[in-house]
Amino acid sequence: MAAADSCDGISTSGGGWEKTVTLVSSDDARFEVREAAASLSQTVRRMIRAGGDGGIPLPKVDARTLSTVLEYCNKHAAVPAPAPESSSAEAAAVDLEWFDKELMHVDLATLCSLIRAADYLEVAGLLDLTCKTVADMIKSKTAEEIRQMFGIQNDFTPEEEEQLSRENAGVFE
Amino acid sequence: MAAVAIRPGSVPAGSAKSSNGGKRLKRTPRVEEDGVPLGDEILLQVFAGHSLETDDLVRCAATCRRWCRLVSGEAEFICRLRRRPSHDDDETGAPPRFIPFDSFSRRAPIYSNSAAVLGGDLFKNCRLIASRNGRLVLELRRASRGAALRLAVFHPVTGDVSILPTLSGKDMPGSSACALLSAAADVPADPPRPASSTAFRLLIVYKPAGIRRQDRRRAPGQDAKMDAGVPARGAVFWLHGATVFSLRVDTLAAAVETLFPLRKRSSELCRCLCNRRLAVSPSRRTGGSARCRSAEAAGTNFVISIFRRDDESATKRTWAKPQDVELNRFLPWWNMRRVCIRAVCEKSGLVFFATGANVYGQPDARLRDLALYVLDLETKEAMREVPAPEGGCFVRKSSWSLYGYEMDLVSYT
Repeated sequence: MAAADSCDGISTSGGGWEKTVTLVSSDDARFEVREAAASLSQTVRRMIRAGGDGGIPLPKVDARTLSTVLEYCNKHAAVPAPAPESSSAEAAAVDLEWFDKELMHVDLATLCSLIRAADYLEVAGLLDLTCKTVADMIKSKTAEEIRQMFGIQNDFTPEEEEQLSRENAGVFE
Repeated sequence: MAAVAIRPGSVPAGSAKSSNGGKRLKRTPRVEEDGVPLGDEILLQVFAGHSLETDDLVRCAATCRRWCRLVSGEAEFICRLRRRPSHDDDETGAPPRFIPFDSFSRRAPIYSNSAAVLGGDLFKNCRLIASRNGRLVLELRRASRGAALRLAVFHPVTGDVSILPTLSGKDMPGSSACALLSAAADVPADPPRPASSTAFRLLIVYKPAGIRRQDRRRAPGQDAKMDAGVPARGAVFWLHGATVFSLRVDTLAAAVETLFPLRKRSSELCRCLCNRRLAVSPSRRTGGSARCRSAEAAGTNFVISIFRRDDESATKRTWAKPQDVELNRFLPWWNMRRVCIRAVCEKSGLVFFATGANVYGQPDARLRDLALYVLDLETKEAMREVPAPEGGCFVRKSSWSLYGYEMDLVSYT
């Protein structure tokens, strides 16, 4: 990448300089990340374009969640554009898939904050990944199990519930 | 099983009506008091996840009013999101795909052929049920849950697809097992037929009383699908629990054998039926059927035991265990709770097994497999791992399945 201008810059392993930006979480933790990685978030990308000093404030994301989001962004931004039919691209894709799986080994509360952060920051890939993970958790569960998992209050009246189970007999086991 | 179809134009009547005549289906503030810290739009994205089927959505709708409103009121939106082309082929409904080894040449026609054929509409929602001698047997499933069994046999190298006559109505198999017979050696021809490399036979056994009787341990209502049968010596063998059911191809005479008894400890831990596989060992193609299974020992000691059928004495069939393969030296020591055999290739003697971080029977968010390994039973070397396709091996109802695919390039080029 080109030499740093007015932005902060850190040295990359290749010896060049990469543009970085500073993101500030709701609890005032500062994260310095490569601009390429931060730009995976459409929200941040717009804010970079808009300019401003002293870091980009992200009041809806706490430090713990933001660090996971940035972990995802750093990993995914590092992957060059896929060149099909090349073995290294395939290996990178395999590695990425593995990374995603490992990243999703978290509890439901963390997952929900990740979903909200991905939604707010508009990181499409992470939003897909997290939603898919939650869907996988719901899969094959009974209504009661789903309620327990999410801590949902059953607000149906007994009559409604009876009607539901009558009309969808066989689905509830 | 499901009585409700959620698709555009036919909002599930049950769910909608039960929330008071649709009045409640109006948009409400983003987060209702259901305790779930996710907004409507995000929840809809979750519901649209490809892994959720109609059954799952109906159960979601039954959890609370808000979810009910979302599932029934936004059914069209969910379906539209669902139809979005996915870049992840592991999803339910996605066509089968190949996971190649490193040594595998990408130039092989298998890619272009299989991508062209499997990508078509015909193979949406299909399920792979057998793989043998370069052919794949696929069950074509319709979203309309038509009570019919439609099978297709696909040869990825030549690209040939044969769609078999549909079995429906009276002929609809409740539970079925099939076996693909292809080589002339599998079928003792009487009268002898010209051996043709393109000929195959598909043997389907369904509602078989002989198997049902052995089936007491299975919970009622469970989908009793068995693995594809293994042909050897003019008969086809199916493994079911601790019994082997065999059927002579020529006389259709059936027999049941009991396998080497399971160790009690391993049977407690190993609730997964697919941890046992029946296969013909490569060194003795016409010899006995070797049964492989992996035992999950209490500690971290994983072993694949190989049982071999003794065919020498014609009267009494016995199963003996000549071989154990320790897996521990191939596996990472961390995070390993189970090992599950996924497929056995009969020509090359390769065993595919997947590892996971959870034990069967324990509900866990991390049901997915961690990695897939390939073990060569001859050299006892484990090959490189590949990231495992999604799905746990106990979800036998799902469309998830993995089969080893062997191809012999020499005989096809």
